[in-house]
Amino acid sequence: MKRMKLINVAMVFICLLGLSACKDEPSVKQYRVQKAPGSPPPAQNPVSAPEGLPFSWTVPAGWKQGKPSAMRTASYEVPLDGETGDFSLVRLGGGAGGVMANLNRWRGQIGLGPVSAEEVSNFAHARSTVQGRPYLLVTLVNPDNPGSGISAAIFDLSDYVLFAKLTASQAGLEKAQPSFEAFCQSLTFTGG
Amino acid sequence: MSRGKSKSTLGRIARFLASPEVFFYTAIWLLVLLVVGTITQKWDGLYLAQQKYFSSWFTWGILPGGRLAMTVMFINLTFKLIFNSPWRFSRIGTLITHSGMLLLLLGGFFTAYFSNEGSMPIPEGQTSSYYQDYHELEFAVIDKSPTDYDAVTVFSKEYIRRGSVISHEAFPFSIRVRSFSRNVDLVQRESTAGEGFHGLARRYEMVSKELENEFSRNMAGMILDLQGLDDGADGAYLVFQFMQVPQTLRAGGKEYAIELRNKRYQLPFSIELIDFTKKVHPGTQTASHYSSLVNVVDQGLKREVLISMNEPLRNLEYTFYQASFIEDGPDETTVLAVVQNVGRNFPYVSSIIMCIGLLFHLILQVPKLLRRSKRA
Repeated sequence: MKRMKLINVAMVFICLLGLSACKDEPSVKQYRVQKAPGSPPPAQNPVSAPEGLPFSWTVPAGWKQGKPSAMRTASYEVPLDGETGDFSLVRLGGGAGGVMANLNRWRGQIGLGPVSAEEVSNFAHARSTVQGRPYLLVTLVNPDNPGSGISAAIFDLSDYVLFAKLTASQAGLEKAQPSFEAFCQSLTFTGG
Repeated sequence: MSRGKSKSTLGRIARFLASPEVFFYTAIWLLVLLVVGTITQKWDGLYLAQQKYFSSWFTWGILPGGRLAMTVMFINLTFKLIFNSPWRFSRIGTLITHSGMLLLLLGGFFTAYFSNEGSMPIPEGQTSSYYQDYHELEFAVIDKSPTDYDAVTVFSKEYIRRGSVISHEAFPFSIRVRSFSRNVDLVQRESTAGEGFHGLARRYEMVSKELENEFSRNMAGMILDLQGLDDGADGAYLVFQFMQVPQTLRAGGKEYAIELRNKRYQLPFSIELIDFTKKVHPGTQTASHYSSLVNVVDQGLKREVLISMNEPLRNLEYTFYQASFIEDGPDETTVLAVVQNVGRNFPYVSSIIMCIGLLFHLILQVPKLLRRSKRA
């Protein structure tokens, strides 16, 4: 009788073992994702002067129109060595929270701690556009997070602040730096 | 004779499976797993403890895991109900309660095998039609050459292991996984790697790390050997989870992107974030309340819905909870927690059935109690 019980237990155990062997099979799926509506083909004309804006710019060669966003004045995909950088141009009224607040927020996005105004000169440099408008050029990289870095330019104008920001890996930023600066220097402002 | 013996053996197995001892010892083992799993969460983290003790068939080598124990319990209750229950009206309460318990376990099975959970970040003004798993990975090859869509080929997690070969007729190159680790650090090379390395792999190398307790903080990474690319770009590439800009490639005159990413579940509709609103406690930056005004876009029709912290959106078998948000400069992104659970109604229904069963049982006991009190 005891032997039969053991056999029963063993049989049930073997069945359950077989059940547990059921694993997910490797699978391959295919589907299509619509590109963002309104994504135009790559820019043919490098000079951009949108209507109704008090500034215009020149699109560096190879940059492609990026996904449009309600917050962004312009958006570009920047082809780099094996990756694509994300460029945004954003205009905000008023002081936009202040330069330091924005710098520290960007630093937080790549895992760096906040800095004081005195330490900004370590990674920020004053530049000017071809037109002669000053702006602050910032490059933020975190050695512990090489997959993401930020190059940004802040144009502090009387009525608004303009942020040009490129997000890419650190290696990508290095490669994109000349075209990013070329974009910033090409910005031409109308009026005061 | 052999037929009779077989019947007898089957009968014995059925009796064994229906015996209350099986339930007794299984319930005790589940209690042990519950206690151990709860305590070890401190060291293993919530996700790993769940996987190790509650969602596994076996734990500690050959000991039954939670899934096996619950399967045994389900089989035991089923056999008990069919072969070893008194099918009389006087016992209808017990039978109904028993059925409710079975339904509860069945719901657990549906939840374990057919439910998905994940997050859905949507930047303001943008639309999304997928959510991503919190933990499970997938590998995607994206053909970006069509003008109005991206053609995506996705390989399940079983392909993401060392030595695996990834190829498909949808793209003209092949990929071999040289190395894979579930948690990595990227370390800058002292000097640029040789000609066989491309993209990030030229300047960075991947170093495996211990798994983090908080599983979602682990960053998976892979070194891939690619063959068949244009312009002599064959060689080693590095991709990792959470890569902000995907690795792009050219092959057959077309542009492709490859991504190691959290598994994505496509929705049969899309959600557009119209406006994200955040209120903070006075004098602080701590959010006290946040909500997302969204459009549910289904077959061209838009339905405006407000999702707030205690008011989720339910559409088809999906539930969308307001979980978090991301502030990226002036851009705001809402993060919704998405639950797709076909078995979500099982606990409610089975609880009601068990309550009805217990109620019947109590009511049917009343005459007995009255008789006893009379005798007394």
